[in-house]
Formats: sequence, structure tokens, C-alpha cells
Amino acid sequence: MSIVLKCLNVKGGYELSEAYIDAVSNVSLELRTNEIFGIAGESGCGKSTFIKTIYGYIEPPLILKGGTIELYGRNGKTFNISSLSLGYLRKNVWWKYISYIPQNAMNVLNPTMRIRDHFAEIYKEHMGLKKRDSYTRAQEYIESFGLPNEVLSAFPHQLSGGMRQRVVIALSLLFEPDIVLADEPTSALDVINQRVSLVFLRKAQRKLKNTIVVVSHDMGVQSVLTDRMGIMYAGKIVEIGETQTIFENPLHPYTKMLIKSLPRLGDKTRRVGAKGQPPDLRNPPPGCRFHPRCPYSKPICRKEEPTLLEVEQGHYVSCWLME
Amino acid sequence: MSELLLEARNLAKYFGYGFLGRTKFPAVDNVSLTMENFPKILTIAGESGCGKTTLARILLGFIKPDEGVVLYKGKNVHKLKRGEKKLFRKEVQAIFQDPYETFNPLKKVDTYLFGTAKHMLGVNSKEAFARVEKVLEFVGLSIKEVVGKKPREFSGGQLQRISIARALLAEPRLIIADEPVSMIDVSLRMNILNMFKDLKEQGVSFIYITHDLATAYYISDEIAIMYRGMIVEVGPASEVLLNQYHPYTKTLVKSLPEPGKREEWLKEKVNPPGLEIKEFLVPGCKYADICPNSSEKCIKERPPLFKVGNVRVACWNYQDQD
Amino acid sequence: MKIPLSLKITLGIIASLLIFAFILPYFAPYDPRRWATVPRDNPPSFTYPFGTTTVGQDLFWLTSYALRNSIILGILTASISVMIAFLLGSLAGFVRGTISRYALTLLIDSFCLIPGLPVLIVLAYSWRKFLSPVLIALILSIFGWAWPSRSVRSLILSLRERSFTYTSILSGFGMMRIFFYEYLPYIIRWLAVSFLGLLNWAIGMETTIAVFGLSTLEEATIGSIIYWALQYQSILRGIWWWVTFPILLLAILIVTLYELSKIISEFTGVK
Repeated sequence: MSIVLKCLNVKGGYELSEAYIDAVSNVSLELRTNEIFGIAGESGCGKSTFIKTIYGYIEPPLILKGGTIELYGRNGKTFNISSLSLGYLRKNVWWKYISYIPQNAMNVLNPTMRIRDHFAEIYKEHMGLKKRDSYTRAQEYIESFGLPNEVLSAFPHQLSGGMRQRVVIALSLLFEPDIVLADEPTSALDVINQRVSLVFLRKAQRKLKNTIVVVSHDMGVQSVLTDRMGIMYAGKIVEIGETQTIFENPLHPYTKMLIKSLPRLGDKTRRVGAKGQPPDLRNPPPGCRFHPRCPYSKPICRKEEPTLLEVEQGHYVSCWLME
Repeated sequence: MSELLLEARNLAKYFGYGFLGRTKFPAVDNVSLTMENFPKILTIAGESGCGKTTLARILLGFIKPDEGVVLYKGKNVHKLKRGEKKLFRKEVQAIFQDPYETFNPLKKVDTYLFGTAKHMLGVNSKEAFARVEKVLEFVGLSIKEVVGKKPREFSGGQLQRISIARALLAEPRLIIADEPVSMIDVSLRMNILNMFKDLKEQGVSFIYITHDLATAYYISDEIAIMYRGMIVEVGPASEVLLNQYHPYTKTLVKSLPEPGKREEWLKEKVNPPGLEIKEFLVPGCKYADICPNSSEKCIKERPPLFKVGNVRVACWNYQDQD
Repeated sequence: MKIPLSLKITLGIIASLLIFAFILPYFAPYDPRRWATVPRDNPPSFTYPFGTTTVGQDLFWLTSYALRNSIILGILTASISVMIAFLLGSLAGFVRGTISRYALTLLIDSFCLIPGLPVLIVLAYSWRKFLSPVLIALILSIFGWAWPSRSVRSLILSLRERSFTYTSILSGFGMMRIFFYEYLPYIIRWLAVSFLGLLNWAIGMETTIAVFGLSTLEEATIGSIIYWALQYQSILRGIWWWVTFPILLLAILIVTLYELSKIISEFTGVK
């Protein structure tokens, strides 16, 4: 087990004419090889933005204000993603070392191209392969995933949402990148297709032994899919740890509330949601950003931001209650 | 004097597709359900494309069914006279999935609140203001933070609560809620669902339409599982969801990702249903092509709802238990 | 609210054109339409900025006059068409009975499909003795309303499916109030964009039939200037300015109006 990605003090957000949206506020994180890492949090917590900064997909109004993101690839190559240009990343890093599956990716497939031509395009750009060779490779590749051959000759709209998502996942793994970033990979899918797609993703990861980051607000998905996870709130990471540990023993009040409010089949006991709502990131509250909604807040929570501390082996929490 | 509040009998709605819309497929296929006079939360559960939103619009009287009838207090909802229609609109309210679409993005949100108060309750402006203030308080908002603002000035959670307040203002007997919390943040969903539960205790019935079985279990008394426009299983919520008689129900529940269910969730092989239109048109059971227990009979003949205890299941495998 | 630079520039150009077309004519030292008022065939110079025509007209003042007529004609057509489109489109989107709905839709669709230009040419030719900018505007309006009407109809049909229509009904509002209070803002935004499009279309159409000599030949319009320029074979004879300046101004007007309609549709979210 080694480190494949190191994020240190990453600061990023959206520079708008009226304000700056502080979406990723001083986030530090390490990703290991051969793991599925989940990033959980609700809308507006900054997880999608964070993923984009990891990928290096920084386009205005998104800006990177500070921090470093280092990718330690196989064969010893290191990439300082935070300082590389889009052009360089596109040519040398994306698809090969790190892949990105954006939200609603299944709708990003070109409706006028058959699936095999999607493969052909990528093979041509990154390996200079001719069409015929691409088709052959694509066929073997698709089969190795257990997907039917017919998928290659179909147009995107002829496939179901679930099948399209699996195609997108397969495409993202084409060059066996060290990291795959998946942003809400199944939010547009029904529960059965979601399961098929995610089991598919997990099998692929177990085979390749690389790292997959799954961003999802669905705590249920996090609990069944991920090995380790990080909880984000209002641009900050508030808790990191092994998924099992977090669900059995959540330490941060926000995590506790997220898990407690999950409805479970077979359990009709009354659950409580949170009071208030997530803060406006143009004007976040001082100190700990969760303090206005926290049932345990102390005076220091309003004044100073807590830091991420390792409370037990591999379990990190950012909360004044832990000190 | 009818004993039922709302009754849907053998509803069917066809949509055309293909050349000139000639070929018709049933988005809603022989659906019947009842809401009694006592307060109850009925969930209509199913994946997207199963016809539940079309069903909701038919029940609300916004779309005419091609077959079957919707009766409110014994009268056909699509053939009501003026006064009766007004009463129907007051007593049967709705909450929609997207709060930002529920209100006209160009208009102030309070116009709907005051409108509902004046038209549905028949009170004057002063009294209307008092009522609006009270109902907003009930959903956790002050009238000051609501008046004069347009939809985009609110968060999703706030706007949905305003939508609920508007529905409650009319003092309805029944609220049809179409995916009311799926666009709301997870931490705020419980507040709204708890509100529904409390309202039921105060006498308001709900038809809760959703794809989320976990929340369905949490608040429903009764649940109907829809597949391809048909009801495949219906009965008391705990019995349906914990026994899972129909193979589709079983697959749905098994696919739910939940903490502690990791091993089983990852293990079992599952055939996802496709969304081909032709699957809607088969003469037999619509689930037959992917059902692990299907037989010749299933493919040829459509099963009626058989009784198994308190639950009714549309599956030939339960014929003898009826 | 900040006004973007593109809007400032576009409005600036339109304002200049309007001044040129509407205010300048009052300062004309002579009636620019009359022949033989100035020396013929003079190229653009300081005294005659656009040059002079073969029949002795000062092209600068003539163009300003003509632009005014073209614009008035365009505005007239656009206004009438928009009003008809609004009425028929709204009716078609709203009316309940199946038969009347089919009839209206058939009416609108037919007018959309009938080829406008040939019919306009025939009408213009038949009434060529009576043609004036107003009559031309009326003739153009016969077809101008069709496509906008279709769009208004489908706009209303889609608005009827939106959740807030249901919310209105559930709040006790009647269809009249829904139409005027909820839908009208959307319809007006769309019609504003459509108006500009029709304006361009009308000016362009009139210019087209004028080039064939089917427009008013007494009143000056951009099209009629081009007609006479072609009649006198100005290009062959090297009198390039007679054709160029009117076309140039026409092009500037059309492009600017188009840009303005784009800006409006971006701002209001209309397609």
C-alpha cells in the first residue's frame, strides 16, 4: 500500500464578479493505491469542485488559489497537477494516469457516434491507432468486462442509462489509470441499475488494484461501495476514516447527523434531520463552519477553525470536541 | 354516501409513439387504488418510467384517463360541476418534485400563498395574512423571510417547505406528493418526512410517490409497487417491504444500498430491466423476461392480483395461496 | 445591473442609424427623391459623402430617406404580425374543443407551409399601381405572422405542462388569470425577440421584391434605390457607390438588429 495522491492545503473556488465562492477551503487529503475512496457531503459542500481541482480541470470561473496536488504514478512518475497546464495534462496525464467521470457522464457520449467510434477516437488521440486496430482492441476490452459485443455497434441513445454508464466506466479505465474520479456516478440511475453499475465499478477496481474516488451524497452508496471515506461540509473536510469505522463510530457532529438521519428498511423509529441549512460559501461563518447548526457548539467553535487531527488509527476528525 | 375518499378504478393511459404516434403503449395499465376516509399514507413506489407521475396527474384531475375512472367522494373527478370541482381542488392538494418549478420563476412566491388563502378558504386579506403567517410558522419559516421574494432567492429546502405550506393552507383532506424530497439535501429530508407523519396524525392523508424505498418504509402505512405502468404488489408497507413476495419487489429491496448490507449487496447477480417500449406491450407478465422464476404461463398470460395474507401480488406463483 | 459592452455597442449603432434615418431627413437641403438636383455620377466626396446617382440625386440624403421608409415599413409589418401571432397562437394553445384546436393548428401550419415569396410577388405585381410602404407592410403581414404564431402556440402548450401551472390551479386561479399573470411575461419576452426577427425579415423581403421593381417606386426605400441602380447598370458603368452604400447600411441594420435580438434572448433565457 502506498500513496498515489497527496493534496496539501488546497484552496479553490469560483471567482464571480460579485463575490468569491470558497468551495474548497484548505483541504488536505491522501489517497492510497488499491482502494475505493468515497467523498460524501450534501449539495454545495464543494466535493465536485474538489474533484475538479484534483483532476486539474481548472477553467474560469474556477480558480486554484493555493495548495499542491501531487500524483505518484506507477513507474515512478510524479505529476504536480496543481502547476501543470491544461494542455500538458490533456496530452500526458489525463486518461493515462488519471480519469474523470463527470456527473451525468452517460449523457456526455456523442449521440452521433457509435460506441466503437468513441473508443477509436480515444485510441487515436492517445496511441495513434488506426480505426481497424481500435475496433479490435475495443472488442477484446469490452468482452473482458463482461459487456455484450453489440454494445460497440450501438449509438448511445440505443442503450439504457445503466448500460451507458458502464460504457463510460469502461472507457475511463481504458489505459488503466492510477486514479479514476467519479462524480455522482449513479445519481441519474434507478436503484437496480445503480447497483449493477457500482458492482461493475468495484469489480473493475479489484481487478486493476488502482484507486477510485466516488463522490456521492448518498450515504447508502458510500457504505456499501467504499473502503475509506471523507466527509465534506461547506468546503472543508471534517472527517476521514475507514468506511466501516465511520458508520459504526462517527465522531464529527455533522457525520453523526448524516448517519442518524438515514432511513433504514425495517426501522420505523423517528429520525431527526438537521436544523438550519448549509451556509452560503460567499460568506461562510467564522470559526468552524458547522457551528451554527451544531448541537454541541462551544464558544471556541465560533472563533477558531479546528484542524484535522488523527483521533485513532487512520481516523481523522476536525472538531474542537476532540481536543 | 360513499365510504371512500378517493377511488381509482382500472385506470389506463396510453401514449403514442412511432410514426405519427400510431403505436400506443400504456403508461398506466389497469391501476386501481383506494383512499379511505381515515387518514393514511399510501406510497406508490417504482422506478422512473414506471408511470407514477402520469398516475399522479390523473388522480389530480389534470389528465383524463383513457380507461377507468377516478372518484372523489363517489363522484367522477373529470365530470364535476363547478362548485364540486372547486371543493375537489381545495380538498385534494399536491406537492411537486422540483420546488423551483413549483412556482413561476418570474413571480413572487407569496402570490400563490395569498391566492390559496383567498380562493380556497374564502377569507379577506387580513385573515389571509394571518393564516399564511401561521402555516409558514408551522413549516419553520417566518412570514417576513418569505414575503416579496422570488423562487431563486430561497434554498431548495426552504422553497419546498413553502410549497408544502401552500398546500396545507387549503386545509386539504388528501395531499398527493410527487417525489417531494428527492431534490432536497439528505440532512433536511427527515424534517419534511416527519412533518408528513405529524400531519397524518392531524387527519391529512397522503399519496407519496417515490422511488426511494427506505423513505417509503419510514412513513407509509400502505405501499403499492409499480412496474411498467402496472401495480405488481400492494399491501401494508412493512409486510410488502419485509416479505417481498413479488420478484421485482425482492430485486428492488435487495438493490438498496444500506450500511451493514455490504456483503449481500455486492454478491448477487441482477438483471436490470431495460426501458424498451416493447416491454410495455407484452400480453403476459411484464416482468417475465427477466424474472428468475418465470414460466410459460407468465409469458402468455397477465396475472391478476392474488391475495397472500394482507398483501396482493400480481404473480402466478402465488395463485394457490389465494 | 451592469450593461455589457456588447449591448452598449449594439444600441449605439442602432441609435446612430435611427438618427440617420429619422432626424437627418429634416435637415436635407433639397428633396432627395427629385431627379436632377445635383450633378450626376459623382463619386463619394466631401460635398457628396455617398456620391450622386445617374439621375442626379444626392445619395447620402436619399439613403437616409430610404432607410426611414424601410424601417417604418418593417416596424409596421412586425407589429401587425406580432399582434396576429399573439392572438392566434394564444387561441391555438388554449382552446379546449378538439375540433377548434385542429382547425386553428391547421390554419397556422398551412400559412407556415405556403411559400411566401412567390405569393408576395404575385400580390405585389397585381397591385403595383397602388403600392405604398403601408400597403407593402400589410401584404408582408399576411405571411409574417405564421411562424411566430406557431412558436407562441408551442410555447403555451409547454407552459401548460409546467408544474407552476398546476400550482396556480391548485391555488384557485382560473385560466384567464394564469394566462395574463403567469404566461404573459414569457410570451412577451418571446415576442420581443420575434419582433426584431420580423423587422429584419420584412426589410429584407421588401428589398428583395423591390429589386424586381415590385415595390413602391415613388417613395424611396433601400430596395428601390438598388432597383434604379441596377436599371441604370450602375455597376457595369463603374458607379459602384449607388449600390454599395444602400446595401452597406442595410447590412449594418440587419446585423445589429440580429445581435440585439441575441442579447435579449440570452438575457431573458428565451430561445
